[in-house]
Amino acid sequence: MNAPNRFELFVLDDGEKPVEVSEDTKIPNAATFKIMKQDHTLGNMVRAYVLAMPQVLFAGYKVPHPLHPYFLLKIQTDGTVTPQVVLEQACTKLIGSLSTLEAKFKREFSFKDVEGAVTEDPYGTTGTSGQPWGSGRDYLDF
Amino acid sequence: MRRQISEENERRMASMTEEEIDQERKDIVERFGNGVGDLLKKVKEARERRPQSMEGDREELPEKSTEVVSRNLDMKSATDSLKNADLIPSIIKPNIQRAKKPHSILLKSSTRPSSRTGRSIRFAEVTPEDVHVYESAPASPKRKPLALPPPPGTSNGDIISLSTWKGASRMKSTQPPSDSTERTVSSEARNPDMEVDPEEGTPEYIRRRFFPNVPAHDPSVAWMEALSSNPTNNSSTGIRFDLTGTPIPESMSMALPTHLGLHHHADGDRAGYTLDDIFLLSRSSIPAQRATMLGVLSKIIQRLRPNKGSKVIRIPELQGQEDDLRRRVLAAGLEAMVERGSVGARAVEAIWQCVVNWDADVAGIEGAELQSSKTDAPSLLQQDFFLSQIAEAFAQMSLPPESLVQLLGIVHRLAQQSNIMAETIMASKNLVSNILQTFLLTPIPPTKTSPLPNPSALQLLTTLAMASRSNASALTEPADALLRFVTILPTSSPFSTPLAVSLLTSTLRFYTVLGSYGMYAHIATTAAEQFAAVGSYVLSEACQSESLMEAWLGLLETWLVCATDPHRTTPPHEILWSQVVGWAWADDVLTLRAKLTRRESHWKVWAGLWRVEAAWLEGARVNGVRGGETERAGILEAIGNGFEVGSEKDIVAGALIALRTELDRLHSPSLWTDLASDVISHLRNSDSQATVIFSVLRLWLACMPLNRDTPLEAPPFLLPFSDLSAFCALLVNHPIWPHLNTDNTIPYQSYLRPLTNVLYYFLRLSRHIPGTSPDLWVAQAFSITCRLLPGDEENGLQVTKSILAMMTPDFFNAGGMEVPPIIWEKGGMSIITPFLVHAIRSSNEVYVGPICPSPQSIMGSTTQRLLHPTLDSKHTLPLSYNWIFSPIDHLLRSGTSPVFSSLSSSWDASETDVVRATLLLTKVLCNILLRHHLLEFVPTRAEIIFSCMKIFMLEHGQTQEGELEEVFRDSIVERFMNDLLVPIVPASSDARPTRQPGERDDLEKVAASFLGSSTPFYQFYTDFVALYDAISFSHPLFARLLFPPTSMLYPLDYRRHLWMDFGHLLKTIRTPTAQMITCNVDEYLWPVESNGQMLSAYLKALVKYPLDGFPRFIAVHHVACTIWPDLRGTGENEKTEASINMLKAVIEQGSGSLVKDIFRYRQSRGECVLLPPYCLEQDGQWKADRLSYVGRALSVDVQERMKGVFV
Repeated sequence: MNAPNRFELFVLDDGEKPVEVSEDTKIPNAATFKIMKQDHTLGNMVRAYVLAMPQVLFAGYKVPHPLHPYFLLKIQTDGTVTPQVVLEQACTKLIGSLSTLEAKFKREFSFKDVEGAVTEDPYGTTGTSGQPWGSGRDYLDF
Repeated sequence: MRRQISEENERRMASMTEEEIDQERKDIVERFGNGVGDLLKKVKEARERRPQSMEGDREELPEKSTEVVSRNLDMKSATDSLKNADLIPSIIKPNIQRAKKPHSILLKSSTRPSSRTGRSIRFAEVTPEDVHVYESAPASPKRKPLALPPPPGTSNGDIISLSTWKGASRMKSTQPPSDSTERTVSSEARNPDMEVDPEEGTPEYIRRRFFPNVPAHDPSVAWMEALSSNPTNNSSTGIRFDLTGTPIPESMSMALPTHLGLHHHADGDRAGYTLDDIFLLSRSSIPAQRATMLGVLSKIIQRLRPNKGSKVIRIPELQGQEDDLRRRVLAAGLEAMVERGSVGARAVEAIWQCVVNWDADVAGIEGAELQSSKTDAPSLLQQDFFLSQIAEAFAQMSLPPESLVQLLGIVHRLAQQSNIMAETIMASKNLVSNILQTFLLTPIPPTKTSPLPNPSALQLLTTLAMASRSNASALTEPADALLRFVTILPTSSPFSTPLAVSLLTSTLRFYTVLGSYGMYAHIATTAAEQFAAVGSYVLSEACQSESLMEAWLGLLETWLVCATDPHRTTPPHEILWSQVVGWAWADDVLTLRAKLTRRESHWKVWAGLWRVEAAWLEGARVNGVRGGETERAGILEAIGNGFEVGSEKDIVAGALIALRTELDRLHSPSLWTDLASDVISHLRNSDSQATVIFSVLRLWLACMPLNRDTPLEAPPFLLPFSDLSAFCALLVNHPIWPHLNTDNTIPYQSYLRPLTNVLYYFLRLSRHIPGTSPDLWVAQAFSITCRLLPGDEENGLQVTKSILAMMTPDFFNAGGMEVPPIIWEKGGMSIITPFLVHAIRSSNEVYVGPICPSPQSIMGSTTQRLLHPTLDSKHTLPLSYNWIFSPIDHLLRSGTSPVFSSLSSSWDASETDVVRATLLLTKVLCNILLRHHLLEFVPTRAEIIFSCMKIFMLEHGQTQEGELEEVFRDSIVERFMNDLLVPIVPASSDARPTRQPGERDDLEKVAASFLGSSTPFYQFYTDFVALYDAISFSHPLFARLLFPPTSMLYPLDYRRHLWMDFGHLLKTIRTPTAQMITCNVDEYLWPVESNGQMLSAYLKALVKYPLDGFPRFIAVHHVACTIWPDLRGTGENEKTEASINMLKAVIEQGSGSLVKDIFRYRQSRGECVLLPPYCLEQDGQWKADRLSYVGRALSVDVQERMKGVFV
């Protein structure tokens, strides 16, 4: 009844900046990004991509309050690049991966009608994922 | 009726066609088989003969089944349509009728043959005699009256038994007791050879002799048979008791003669009564029977009474059921209590045995609630009902005097049980007034018939008053009436001298208890003359009773305390200091010295005397001229050199030695396995000796001149200071403290209260001893504070405040510790004082009065007894060892913390300030305690780790903007935390001496005291990890604290959470191996991880991230130990699938350096752990073994390729 309107979760207010950066004064090469009108969906993905970059020493995010639609992303780098640059690069990569994913998905989806009768393993794997000691090449197959 | 049916059948037959009749006939044949026609014909023929001729054979087939009957009933519909007269089975007919109307068989049935001619239907002439009904069939819900027609005379094998009769088993022995006389007659015939050659007179003999046709074991005469001697049917309650409650041995129960009265009322034919018999008979409607059985019950209970110490189990058969039995007996007694005459008296006795006599060894304890659990028998009583019954019993006086005394004992025990129960007793109508009337307000002088007053009733009043303040104020009303025992001195009393002395003593004690609430002190003024007379009597030679002297001194002490501050009494100004001075009690007391000797029985009197003088001097310090200087001088002069050469010296020395001996005896751990009675007796002995010691210490302190806190040039009088100090050092580390701090030992804690007072007064004295450095004093003070018990809150507060007051910059400078000045600017220790005070006394609702009343306690105390902690009001004392961290707890729960809501407005410290001060205090205390080897009081590893975790969890910026600085980022806080953790980092030089790992070293247990039982530590840990993930910026200390719960000592879940769920964190952790937090690196390494998922998580982390430092060490260790047979230890299968897979994965996916590390990693269990890089630089035969293992496990090619890693 007194729940906030749904659109308030993703529509920016008038004049609201989508991203704010505040550099940490005490910790070198560290910054906190405040990203408005976003939640764990974006936060987790961005964090993962930032963390995957070799220059990054620390990356973490938190949603301070579940009813406040923003998250805080904290990034610390080794000094070769600034946290802002790292974030930009990570976001570019993320956008790239997402569009690849989208394209792949659309392609596969269009095949659905063409070769509808093909029954594939719903998980797309060889079925060893359930066993801890599979013989695949990847470490994930243990 | 039958005719009706047959006519109807006939009519129906007539209307049927041939085909229909055939059809019906076929149906019948189909149902009963081919032989049925013959069978039915035979039956019919048999019936047509004279039925009487067959009577003799009737019993031959008693097992002719009831099934037949029921089958016949089923046939009803079929037979309805059978009209052929030849075929109608007459056997069926009566049963049809029976089915319709069961009693019709008893009616006169038609015996007249059909008068019709020609084709006629004939029915069997079944008379009532033809039908045998087994009257004696057992009364069971499935009872079926058996109605069987006589079988045919010639049994030619055509008759098929459909089943055998199972309905009647042997009659069970459920007959009422009145039947048992018959049984005892037959019990003589108990010959096991009966089958072979029955003895004359037995039922079997009679049967064989006179009724050879009757089958053996006829169920209808089962009652005649002798009971088998095999006691299988009552083995569960097999133990039997005689009328004195003694168990009868199995062997004797068969042999005892019947004239002992042990056979008459019980089931079975053995002597004695089982418990079930007794309980059954204790509800008998015959009063004599009931009374006897209640008597037996109370004697059994007396026998079962737990006797702590003696390992003999009184009745081994009932071992383990004692409590249950006690409850049942209690219930039986309560039920019978309302009866008149001997039943009521015996019932009271049974209750008394269950309630009072059961644990007589604790019943002497007045200073604590006795209940051990909610299900304790006295707690189960229906109090309201029971108490009103007792009140009535006192009013009616119908019970004998012994029972009334027992009832008094029961009420007293209930009052001791818990404070709530004591209040219920006070509140129950007429109970206390009736007791007063019955036991105390007896006529004076006593007539020949009137009862004498009973001192135990006074004891009850004292107990009630001790229980709660409201009780005490309610009891001030009848207190006036008790003056009768004070005004008549024992010399002129109409009672015998011992009784008069005992009454006077109990009355004085009662007034003392009232005085400890600050009540009823006005009687000292009102009855000043009488009390002066009592005083002169006590001082006179006529009085030889030590307990009277003690009680008198105790009363004087309490009143002196009341007089010290007239505003503290209830109501105020009840007794004034000027009056006390006028009565010159102190001088009276001093003259008592001459009367006292060095005998041990006089020790407690001496102690009382010293306390009175101490109270007098303490009062004079407040009220006297120039701080009571002249009073002090007067007392010191009177004591003279008693403490140097006189009897006082001997007493103190003697008490100290005796106390030490008692405590030495309590050292052996075997005593504590269960609370043996000698533990209790040692504790009880130590009570009086400890009282002596603390009394003399108190007097010594009271004799000190006003300006305290400075070492003096000369003490007021000499005490064996070094002995005292050595003794207190021993006492503080004694094992009694933890042992007596469990829930069911609370009553015994009251024996320890004098000991805590010894510690407290010694601590105060220690401050004045020239040799005590501030350092040492703080160490003593902190350790003693941890020992204080409920009731010592006031002392604890005083000590804590002095500790905090000592924490000045000078103190730290003297100790060579550098403290940032910002701490002092923010107020130093004063900002955490409210939290620490709250840790000691959290509320004023429960205020246990101390042993020595003080002006504060007489105002505030709500009870004089230790409370049982299961009740909602929990004591804060004894303090937990990590109470010093309590300010952080309050910060974490600042929303609900009662301290925050009651802080004064001038308190404006920030969280950081509070944490800084707490950590500084902890740090300095740790250092000091370690220096003085008080290891038990030093916070353990787990306590420090958990407290640091809590500091990190003080999260900021949750909702408000303008980000406050996180507390853990404060440089001072960080430094202090690092300092605290230094002793538990293996690389540090001053690693702490290891202590026995115990409960206090388990993070989960330590956390439980803060988190409560509903929040597991795992939840806290997940929050902690998530917080690290969100905000830490890979704070190094934060990262280090992530690891302690992931050691192999803790469950898998913690490791899984960190390494799998939050695996991405590991990239950000760069803790050097030397900085890990542990006492013993082994904890992380052994036993080697065996969980497959965890191992793959380790490998994944190694492959995916550039792991560094400690996490890398852990992961490499577990992976290498899984792969290499030489690390796995002997005895296991050399080549396991896990090992091969892991090896393959490392070689194929791992980077060069990882492969190198895994191949070169060497560690051996049981030896000193090798930290990197040493564990990668070892040499030995194992290198070649590993290479060959690679060859065996994978292939020779790989082996060749891998040769390079060792170069």
